Amino acid sequence: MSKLLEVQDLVLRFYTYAGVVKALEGVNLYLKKEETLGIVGETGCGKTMTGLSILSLVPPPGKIEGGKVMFQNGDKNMELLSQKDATLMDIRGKDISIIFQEPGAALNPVYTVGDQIAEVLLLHRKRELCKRVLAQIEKEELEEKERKRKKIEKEIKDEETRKRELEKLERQKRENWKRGMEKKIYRTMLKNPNAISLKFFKRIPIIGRYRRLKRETRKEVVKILRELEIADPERAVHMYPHELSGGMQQRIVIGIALACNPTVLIADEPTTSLDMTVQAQILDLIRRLKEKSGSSIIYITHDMGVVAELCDRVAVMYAGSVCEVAEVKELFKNPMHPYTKALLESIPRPGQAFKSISGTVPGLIDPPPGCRFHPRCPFAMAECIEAMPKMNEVKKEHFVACYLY
Amino acid sequence: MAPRKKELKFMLTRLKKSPLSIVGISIVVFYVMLAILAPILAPPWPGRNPFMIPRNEYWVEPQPPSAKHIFGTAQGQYDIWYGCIWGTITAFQVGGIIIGFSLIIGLSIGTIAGYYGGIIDELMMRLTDIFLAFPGLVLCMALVIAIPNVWPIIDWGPLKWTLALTQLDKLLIALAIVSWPSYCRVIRGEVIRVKAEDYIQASRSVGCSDLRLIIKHILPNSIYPILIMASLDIGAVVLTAAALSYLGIGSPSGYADWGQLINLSGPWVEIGLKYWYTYVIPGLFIFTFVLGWNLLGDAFRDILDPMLRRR
Repeated sequence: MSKLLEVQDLVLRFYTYAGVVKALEGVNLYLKKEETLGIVGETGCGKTMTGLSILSLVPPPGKIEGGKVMFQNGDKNMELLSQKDATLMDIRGKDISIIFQEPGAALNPVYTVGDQIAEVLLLHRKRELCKRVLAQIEKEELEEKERKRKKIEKEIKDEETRKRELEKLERQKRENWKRGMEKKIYRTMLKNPNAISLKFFKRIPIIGRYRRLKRETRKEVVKILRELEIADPERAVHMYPHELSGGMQQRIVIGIALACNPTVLIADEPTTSLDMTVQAQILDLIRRLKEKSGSSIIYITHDMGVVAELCDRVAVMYAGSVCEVAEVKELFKNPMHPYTKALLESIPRPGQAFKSISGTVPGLIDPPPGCRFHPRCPFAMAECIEAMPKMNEVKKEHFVACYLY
Repeated sequence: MAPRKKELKFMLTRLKKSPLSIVGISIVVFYVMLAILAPILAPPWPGRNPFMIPRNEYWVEPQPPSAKHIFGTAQGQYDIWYGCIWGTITAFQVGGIIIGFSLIIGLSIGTIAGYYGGIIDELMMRLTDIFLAFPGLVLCMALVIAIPNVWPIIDWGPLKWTLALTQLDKLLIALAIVSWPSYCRVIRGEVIRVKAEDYIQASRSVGCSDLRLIIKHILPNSIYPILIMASLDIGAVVLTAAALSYLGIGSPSGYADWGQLINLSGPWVEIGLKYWYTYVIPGLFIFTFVLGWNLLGDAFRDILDPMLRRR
């Protein structure tokens, strides 16, 4: 299968007062079509930053210093990091979208959830909505014509006059000036959603309100909410984020992310702040929505259980670089990198003594030379200190960055 | 539409719970009515500038309230009733124009500085520091004196268009220049706070442009302190304008302005309570006007405070 998204040698640095934080050091990843890639690792190992870098959303003082992000957008293969802002804005939310960790914080408190989903729809799917509005107007016109025809046929008994009236009705092009005007406006919008004439029109009080577009958007929002299994979506549209529970908020965030059927969805620990039962529901929801829309998912988490449950392939990250990538079953059965082994052993199991990895995660301002895991690695060798190991494919689809293999 | 109505209803119930805000709103509404009804309450002389207080006689000593002059007359026989009523309009003009201009300048500079940060922030903030470094009243007086009366806007061959400023216009400009930096500071801080919130990052991740982010997401979340400040300041600015008018660098003599009326009463204060009406009545107008806006500002804070809203 082809690679949909590929991160090559990504280098990210934060220039802080304390020094240069080498947050990402040569991250290599790829995502295939319709698969779920899990990224696991400890806190602060750069999982989230990898996700944000893909969309150039790294907050200052972060700076992407090297690498490429190749994205197969339709039939174009584009490099995302060198794109202009306008192009990126078009891609964000439409082709690649992100679900954030904290649903309560990721929703704007001053807007209703309906408004927030509508915003994404209007940013990226305005044309489609306009088409629907136009279809609606045309349908209404036809209906009115039909109604008039029936009225004429019913009321006018005289054959001659009826025929004449019917012909007159056929000839009539536009019987309602209001609808005609609306049609004109929405046609302009369909052609160019940012037309200057529309900007002026919007400023006219009372008339300039796009009622039909709003109604159509609301319908779509309700449809999305229903897909997210939110009870009573008609009412939920009008609610503010703080009126919803954590699970519901996360559903809304997922709804915003999936509103435009993105090809890639980056889920940044979407269930970490939720309790177990809600977590299961959300995971189920993500899986179902993925099957329906055919998106590919990058699922960032530190929970091995979730990875085993949801992902097709896993990338293990440690201190700013990827150390092992493999298919889920392969990784759990046959972990190769010492860090992966230690990570899997440290999953608490009933009846067994709790194992942890000795030592601590290195500070990223002054990381250890060579392989960043070597101070904690039981198999460390002399060459580990000298240079960072390269990724090599040990088995098919199983990559490890370690000198042992 | 439903949530907006719900919101409005919620605001009204919140208002009902605090009697002081009701008082504040009624005072402000009362003054608005006064301003609207001014031509009826105190009909101006036809053909004259309605803002100049009419007078029949010219002798110096103030006259006590009588049937003809309900509040009496000030020094030079200016009718106090007329001055107070039309002074309401002046007060609204002064407050509205000054706060309006300082809001526009302060909000735009503060938001841009806070949002973009870095060198832009540094430059703009140092600019505001320059304005903040001077004591407000002194800077204001200096500016009124320094701003030229006539501004040539177009001066090109036969085309000549100049803008003439009155003393009062200059006072408004000076006060706006003095009061925008505080708005700028507050909004900058708020924008920096809101900018770091997750939902801003989230909106950026769905493809919002910078302008959209600022106007639709950052400003609605950071404007409340500014609204409260502005409503409190409308009163304060009127007070400052009155003080400057009292000092003689505001409106011209005989202009319908509360500060101007008190200015006229200056020589008569030391004589004792005999001429109380010349300073007590305009003073009361200023006092209640400022009080009204202050209470309204408090009411705004009660309504908009997000901690109180969370229910």
